Amino acid sequence: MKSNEILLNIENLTIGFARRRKINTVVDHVTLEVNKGEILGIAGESGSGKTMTVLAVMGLLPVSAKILSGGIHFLGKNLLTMEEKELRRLRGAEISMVFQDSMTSFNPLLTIGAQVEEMLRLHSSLAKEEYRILTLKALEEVGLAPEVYHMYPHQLSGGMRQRAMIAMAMIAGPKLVIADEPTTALDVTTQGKILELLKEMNVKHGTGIILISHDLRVIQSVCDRAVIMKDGRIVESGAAKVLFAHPENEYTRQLVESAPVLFSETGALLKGLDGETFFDCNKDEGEINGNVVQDGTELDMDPNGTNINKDRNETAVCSEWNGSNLKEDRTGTDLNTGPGKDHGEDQAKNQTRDQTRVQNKGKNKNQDKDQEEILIIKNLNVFYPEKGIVLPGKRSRKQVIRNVTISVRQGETLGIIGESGSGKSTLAKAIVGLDTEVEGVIKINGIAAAGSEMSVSRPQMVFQDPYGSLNPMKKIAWILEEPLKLQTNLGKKERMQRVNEMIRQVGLSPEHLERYPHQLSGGQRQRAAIAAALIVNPGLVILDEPVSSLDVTIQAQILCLLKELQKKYNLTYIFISHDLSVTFRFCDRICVIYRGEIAEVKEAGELLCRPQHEYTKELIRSAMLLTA
Amino acid sequence: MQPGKNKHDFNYILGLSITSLVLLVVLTGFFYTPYDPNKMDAALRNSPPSLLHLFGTDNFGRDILSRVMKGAGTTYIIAVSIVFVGASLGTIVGALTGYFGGWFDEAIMRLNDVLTSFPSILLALVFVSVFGPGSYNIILALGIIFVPSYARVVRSEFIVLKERDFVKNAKLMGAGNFRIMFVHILPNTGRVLIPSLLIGFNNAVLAEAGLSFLGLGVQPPQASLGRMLSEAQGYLLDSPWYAIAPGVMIILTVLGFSLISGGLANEK
Amino acid sequence: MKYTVKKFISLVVSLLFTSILTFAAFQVIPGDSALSALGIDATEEQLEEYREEMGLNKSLPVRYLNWLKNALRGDFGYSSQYRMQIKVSALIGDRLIVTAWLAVLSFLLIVAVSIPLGILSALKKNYILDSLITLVNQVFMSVPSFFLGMMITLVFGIILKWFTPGSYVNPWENFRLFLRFMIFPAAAVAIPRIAMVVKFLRSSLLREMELDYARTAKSKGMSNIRVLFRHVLKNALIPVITFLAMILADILAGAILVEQVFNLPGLGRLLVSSIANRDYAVVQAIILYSASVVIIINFFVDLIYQWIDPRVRTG
Repeated sequence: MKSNEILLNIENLTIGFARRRKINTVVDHVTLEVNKGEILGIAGESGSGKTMTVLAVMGLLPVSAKILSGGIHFLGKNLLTMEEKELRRLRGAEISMVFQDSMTSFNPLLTIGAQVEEMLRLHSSLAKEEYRILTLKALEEVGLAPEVYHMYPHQLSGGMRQRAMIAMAMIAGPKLVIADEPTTALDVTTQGKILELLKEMNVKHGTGIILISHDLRVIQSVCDRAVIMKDGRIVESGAAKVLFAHPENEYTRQLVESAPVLFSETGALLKGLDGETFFDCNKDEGEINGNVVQDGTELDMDPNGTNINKDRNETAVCSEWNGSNLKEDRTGTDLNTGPGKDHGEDQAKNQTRDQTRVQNKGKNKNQDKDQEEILIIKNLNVFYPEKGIVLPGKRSRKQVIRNVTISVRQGETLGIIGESGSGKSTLAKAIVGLDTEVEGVIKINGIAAAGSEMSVSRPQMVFQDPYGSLNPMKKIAWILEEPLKLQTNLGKKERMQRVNEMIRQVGLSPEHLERYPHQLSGGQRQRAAIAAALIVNPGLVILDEPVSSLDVTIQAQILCLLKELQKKYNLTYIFISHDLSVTFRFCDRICVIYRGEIAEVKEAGELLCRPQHEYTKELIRSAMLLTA
Repeated sequence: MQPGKNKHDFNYILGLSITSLVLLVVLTGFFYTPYDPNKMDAALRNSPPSLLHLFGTDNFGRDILSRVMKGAGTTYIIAVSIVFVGASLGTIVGALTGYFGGWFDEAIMRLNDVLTSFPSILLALVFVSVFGPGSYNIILALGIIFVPSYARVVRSEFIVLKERDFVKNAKLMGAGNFRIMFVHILPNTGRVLIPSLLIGFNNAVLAEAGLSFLGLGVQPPQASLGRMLSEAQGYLLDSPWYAIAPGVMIILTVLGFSLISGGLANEK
Repeated sequence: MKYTVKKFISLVVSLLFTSILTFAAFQVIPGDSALSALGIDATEEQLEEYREEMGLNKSLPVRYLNWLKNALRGDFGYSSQYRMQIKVSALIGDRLIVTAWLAVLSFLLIVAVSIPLGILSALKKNYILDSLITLVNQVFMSVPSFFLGMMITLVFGIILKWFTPGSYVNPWENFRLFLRFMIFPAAAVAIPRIAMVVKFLRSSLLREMELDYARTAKSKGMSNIRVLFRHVLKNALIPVITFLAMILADILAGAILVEQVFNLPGLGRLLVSSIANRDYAVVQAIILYSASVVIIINFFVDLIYQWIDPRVRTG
């Protein structure tokens, strides 16, 4: 960071889409500046206008978008009044861009080398051989081998492609690089490395960077300054460290609180869903750290006297979320005592249950082992049929899950984490019986399920994308009624009664029943999907990335709802996610899946503080890197 | 569906107008024609368009307007029947193969590949040469020939849709295969099935016209658009209007429906 | 390499499949093929002799294999509509050339006109122009080739007298006159298909222009036209190639009808007259020929894919 010279200056920028004589403003009087050699973060949820703002800088707005007012100055030159020809000389050479999806952002028909080199060719005139040498050098600088020069985009991994994209953006020596969600499409382990690379480029070449992300951790980890956008407006801006530590704006605070901030600056603190859940791994061993609990309940303590503390304050985001160690045994086998009935139960009974829970809360975790195991998996192997010409009777198959043994106790929440392709979703599918190529034992409520039709207490699933899990051609009422039609002998009237009760349980009103899924918002859709899964009172529910497609503020609400329902119906959850922080906050126990095998299974706090397996360490380390 | 929202507003509305006009003419033709379409009048042979005979008369002195009205009706009935046969069988085949996959699917799709790589009129000619010409044979022949195209459309939709989470959900709820296929998945294929029904109708109109033009379709004295063009060919020199009326009728029919289906396909 | 082998196997399978279908289709015809070949005047001995000679008494698979063996040598027997005096192969030979020329001329016309037009129509994009291009395209696509042929005859032949309807000249008599005449039927076949290809190429180009990699190219400082030619065109042409192969098959269908309009002595007219005269040996041969051509073209298209698309080439 050399000086405070202003590189880019955006003033009162307003962008709108004209639609049938109505103007839909997507960027509203945005003013910001980027200094030379600084990294500016722009954070905000999808649709906040952050991408539109930078596309305007590049002059790459979609044809239907119009700049309504304001100015963009780059090194004193007005970009909006600039001739197209002059602007083209600027693009790539002075301001370049790194896009989110490196697979689609490279031309699939040209080699990486040709595409990186092209940037140089467009902005300089050198000898043919020199282009090649400089390109190879640029690839080397971002950590790519010379062979990559001759490779096509589809032959590289996501991380490698993103490196190539950075090499391409940097090769012509730009003063400003705009990186639009450069790590979103990558795995956690790769994310940190790419951010490090960007930081390295910034330090080495003094390049100014605008980093756009919806993930506050990304912004926090590498940015000097940050702005928060909402609905096309900047709601707050300032030095990144200060901004996230002491947010002044209400929205920023909400975002920071609900954002999956995994570790604090000491690298050990997790801010929970309920506001105050801590995993505080003090480095000094033996020293018990912290009765940090305000409401005076007893602490969970490891019998070994180690320093893992976990407790929850129920006053914050989820007012009703209690601990999950329920004593009451309900195997969930009886379909006829559905949620509706349960809901109608005496208030007194609920209270006793609550009391039990409070008492249990202080007790040792080990006691949970006495609790009935609702799901037992032994030596599970799952295969996928190999693609290709399939001859009748003859099949080749690929093993996706290897020798998995695990059990889940009644009422607990088991988290399963792992990278995409690690087999975590396959495991979930095997448990609910969606995969047929299964070897080993899966017992649900003591009933063997592997390979056989499950007739009792069929586990239900909540999927990542509620838009995909709700039939788009059917109304919500039909979707909720369908499982009752299929699994119960209830009459039409009783079914509709149950549907009406359930829709209220998930925080929607009966008027939503008459809508189609696309007429609901993302959060409402996921609520409806949860209602559809719970309406038959399944006992065991698999949550497959249930909040990953939602905005952070909605995420928290849905997670709270899930906890609330878990308590109410004594549900057992298996929570699948690639997002460590959400998993740690939501789950009692966590199972790490790596290449189809279980790397380790532990209590959430124990896993976080004392990971054993190399892969778990790597996962946690990379998550920490983001805020290092 | 809100037609006002798509990109080709103007063309969509134009398509609707053309189709309404054409349908009005054809439907009227079922109940009323200005003259008896088969009544010959030697005195009126090959007379050019006039106020009495808007599109003139043919070589037998028959009123061309009346014949177009009746003939288009014949063509339409045949085309609708063809689409009905092709689409219903195609939907069943596509649903089964797309949903279940496996070697059965492979075999059917191989067969489909071979059949669809043929021009449909060529296949129809094979059929006609085996079973002989005539309206019913044409319906059967073209209907069966259209099966693969519908099967393909429905199959590819099924392949995509069966992987969607709502189908998995239905399975978890305990819905049987046939319930999933026809209650859960099938309504979702309408988005692509409806435009392809319109396109199929167009293809059927063109195929009927082609076969009848070759003398292998509708047999005289029944009038159909292709049949009329076939008869008109010999009199191009003396009475070109004989060809123009049925030809324009075919063009308007096809144009109207393709503009509509284009508009539907543009919707999100 | 593996891809090529796979496609080749698929080619052979498809060809076999086609031959079986072509053979089998004509086995369900009711009636005695010996009787229809020799006519009702034939004596029982003659019929029996014919059956023996043609192998009609053998089992179905044996008859198929015999038929296939002969077919591969180009021998389809004798034509019944010419009273078994002319070999099917000889009958087809002459006419094949006419149809091949018609197909090649129309295909060249289609490619030469539609690709530049498609690119041109994709360069400028605004609401009115969009609608107009779509409409014009749609109108041309709605015209059946044979009706277009009649209109061309009417306008260029009868009114403008640029050619004399029915004055077809054999290519080996006077090639220039042959071409001069053939250009009109070729246009009749080509024009509706030009509209189809323009529409297809245009939408493919517009779609690709919206993709991320085109945006990346623009962010490098390239002009829109340069992005189109250097990055988008090749990507957009990939689906167009398949479409052109389908068009080529469709041309054969168009040719059958247009030959009728222009009185061309091609395969199409032979096919129609053979069907009318129940001359099955000829019908079978023509169907097998045209289907094989279509399948072989598709095989080459698959090879072209491998050549231009690295994703196919390297798995």
